[in-house]
Amino acid sequence: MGKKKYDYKPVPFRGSGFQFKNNYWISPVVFIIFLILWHVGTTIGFISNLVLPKPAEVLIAFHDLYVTGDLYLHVGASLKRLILGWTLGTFFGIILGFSIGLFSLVRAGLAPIVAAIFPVPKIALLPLFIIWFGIGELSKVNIILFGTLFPTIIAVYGAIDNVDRSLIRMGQSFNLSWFSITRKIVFPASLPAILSNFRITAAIAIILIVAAELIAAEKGIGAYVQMAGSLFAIDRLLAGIIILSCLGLIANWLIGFAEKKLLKWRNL
Amino acid sequence: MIFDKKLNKLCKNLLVSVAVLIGLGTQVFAQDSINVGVLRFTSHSAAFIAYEKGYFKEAGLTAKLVPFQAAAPMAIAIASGDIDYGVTAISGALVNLAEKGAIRIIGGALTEEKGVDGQKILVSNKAYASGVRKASDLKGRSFGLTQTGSSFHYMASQIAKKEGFSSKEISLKPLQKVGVIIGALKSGQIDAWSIVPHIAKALHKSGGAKIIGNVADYIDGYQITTIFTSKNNATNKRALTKNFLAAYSKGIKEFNDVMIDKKRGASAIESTTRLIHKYVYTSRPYKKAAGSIQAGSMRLQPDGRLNLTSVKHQLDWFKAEKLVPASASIKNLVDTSYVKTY
Amino acid sequence: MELVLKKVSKTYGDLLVLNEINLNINEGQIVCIVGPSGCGKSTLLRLIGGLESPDTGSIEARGTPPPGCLNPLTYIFQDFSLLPWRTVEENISLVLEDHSLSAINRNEIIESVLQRTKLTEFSDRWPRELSGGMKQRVGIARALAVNPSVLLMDEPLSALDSQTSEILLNDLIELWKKQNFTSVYITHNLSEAIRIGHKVVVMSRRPGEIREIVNIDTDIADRKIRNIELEEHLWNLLKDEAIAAERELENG
Ligand SMILES: Nc1ncnc2c1ncn2[C@@H]1O[C@H](COP(=O)(O)OP(=O)(O)OP(=O)(O)O)[C@@H](O)[C@H]1O
Ligand SMILES: [Mg+2]
Repeated sequence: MGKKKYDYKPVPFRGSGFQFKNNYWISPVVFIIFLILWHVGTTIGFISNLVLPKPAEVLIAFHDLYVTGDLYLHVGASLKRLILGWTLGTFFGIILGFSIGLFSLVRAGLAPIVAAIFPVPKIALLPLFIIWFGIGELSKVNIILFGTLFPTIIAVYGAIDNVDRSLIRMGQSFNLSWFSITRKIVFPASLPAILSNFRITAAIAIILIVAAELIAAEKGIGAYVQMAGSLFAIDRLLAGIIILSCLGLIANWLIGFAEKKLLKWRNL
Repeated sequence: MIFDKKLNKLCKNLLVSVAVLIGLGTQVFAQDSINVGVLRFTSHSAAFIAYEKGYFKEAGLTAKLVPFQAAAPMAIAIASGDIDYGVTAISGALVNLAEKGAIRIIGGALTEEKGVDGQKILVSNKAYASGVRKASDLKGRSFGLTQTGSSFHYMASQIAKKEGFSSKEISLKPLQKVGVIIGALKSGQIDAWSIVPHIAKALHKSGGAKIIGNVADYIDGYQITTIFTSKNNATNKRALTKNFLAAYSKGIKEFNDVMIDKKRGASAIESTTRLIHKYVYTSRPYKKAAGSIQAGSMRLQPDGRLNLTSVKHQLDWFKAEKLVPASASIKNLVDTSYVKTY
Repeated sequence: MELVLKKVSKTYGDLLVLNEINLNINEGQIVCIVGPSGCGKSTLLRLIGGLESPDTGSIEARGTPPPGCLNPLTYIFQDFSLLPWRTVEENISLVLEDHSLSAINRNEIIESVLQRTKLTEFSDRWPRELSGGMKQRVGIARALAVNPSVLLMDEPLSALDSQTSEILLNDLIELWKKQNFTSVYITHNLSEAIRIGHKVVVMSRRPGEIREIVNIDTDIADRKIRNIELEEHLWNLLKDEAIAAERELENG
């Protein structure tokens, strides 16, 4: 055997990618490029004024909303409905979810009903809600309440089903009371899933506010968007949609904040 | 979701309009073939008659009737070029589309006249019982609308204006659908509404609500619906548009003669009602539908004449309510070169 | 306290897991249980601690627990079973909170068990910040906090690397020398069993039966690190069972 000559070269690095780095500057840059393209496209007529208004027109729609004070009226009316509906839906959802998660009798009675109602689009119930709750605030709040209630119930009892049984065993082995186990083990263990469900129900609530305000709403972002749509005033339509998505962003941020505070034991 | 569906349709139509308006290829029409948008209402009968009796063909047009569920999507379809001609109430959407250079009004259709049975003002039994007996009592009451900026909205403010109070003193309830409004009126969730005579009378007769007045007393010569088309058709296809109007006017004349003035006798009424029944109230048997069709017949403007004064008045109102830009002009809205205006 | 098992049997569905187990656990003794995988050791421990009930037979606890005992039969778990949302201190506090103790009293207990398990400076750490060995120390501290009369340990060291488990084993031995607790100790590691057990119970494969009980008379303090002879004897007892058990699992 002849002597073999060896090539020495460094082992190539193959572990890049599939990791997110914090590139904070990218999203504003993308946003600004998007705005410029939008402006140029609508100005030179490449994008028809039927398809998109100029960015400046949307800005004017915002300005009008602001100076007339309508912004506060619309956002205020919607926020009231959103907060009330979401809070009540979440409150009852957590209570019912815990009951189903903890008591087999309740589960046997309620889980099938919840599963049956959950997929029904709440918007299809709109006419029924008008008959039950009238055309006032009650039916609007209830649409959001019902829309958030069922996903919450299912998320909560799913979360309880997923609580590590060995931790409950541990609690029992130390003779902890049922109430202590529920409060100190089951509840905190299901909290992450409950909080991440908040993101979903907050989005559902914002989607439903538009439907809720289809009915006899004089004020509200949903009513404003609906009005703009029926008037074919797409500048105002866009302004309303931007406000809705801002509401979504704010809700998301608040939930993120709550997660940071309540789940600081999770290294995130 | 109702709203989503609309948005979807809107997006689809808008995409088509992009293609058209950007000018990717010239707009192609097959040899004088046109799409006519209709709603399944008696007020669209002129189109049904012109189509069934072959008046479009006589005018050299291969016409296709395209039914729509509501006026707004039809206006957007005309803006996008999917539909060539249509008839609809003057609404904020129509004015906004005209301002964007998408559509033009070219003639008049349904109109309100003093002395001729027209739209009625209705109040709920509950409101009636609590003392609402005439339109002046509507101050502080609620009024049903389909949408903000719809003809119902206009009627409500005109009633308020003439009775000497501000339209802000009526609480307007946009309920999206006529069916929902009727339900809300019957159950007393809203106090008042205005609607075409046959629906109003039916409600009054069945005891669901009470008629307390006529819209015609509050709005002079109300031009309720108009014939409209895309700006492109109005300015660049004048011959085509004239032919369409001629055929449509023939349909109007026959409708007025037979159904309104009853000049041609009972058998003509019957055969025309049958013709209309092919399109309107199709889910009801003829016997039941006939009464509603006949009761719901209101005069259409002969030769598609247009009450420009009424249109101007409506435009001013839209501006005053800030539903359309203050710069909106009647020139952008109406092409007066086709029919007689007054 | 002394535990006496008489003809204890347990089935899950159609599966007979434990068959007529007779066993005495004497006061102050550590009883090690070894046996092939799936023979029912963990099941037996759950029965002893009252987390499950036997189908037939009886399990009796004789004698009174020592004064100040809050939870006579106390487990130390293989997977530690710490609550991740509680700090070290709070995890220990958990098992005291249901008892009517004054805050001062409770803090005293916590401090004392933290000290005994060398955890004092880690009292406010989250479990995720601890190494496996430290987590198990917290598990031990938590068990000591309720001053148990019998410690039930299911492979308490098997999730740890061998150095760490050696250290913890020594700590347990030290602890026993001081407190002479009674214990049932399940393990797969024969040398561990020989180091810490007064009795080594060898179980057969499923249905689990007691095959042999080996008494080790040498004082725990005097034992060598390894006793090859005894280990070989135990291994020979287990080998066939282990091979057979392995086959059974493979063939379903
Ligand atoms: N809750 C249960 N339901 C049904 N079967 C079970 C249950 N718990 C254990 N078993 C079965 O009983 C048998 C004995 O299980 P056990 O966990 O007691 O064995 P083990 O000796 O501890 O095994 P290992 O050494 O792997 O920990 C196994 O076959 C297991 O599948
Ligand atoms: Mg086990």
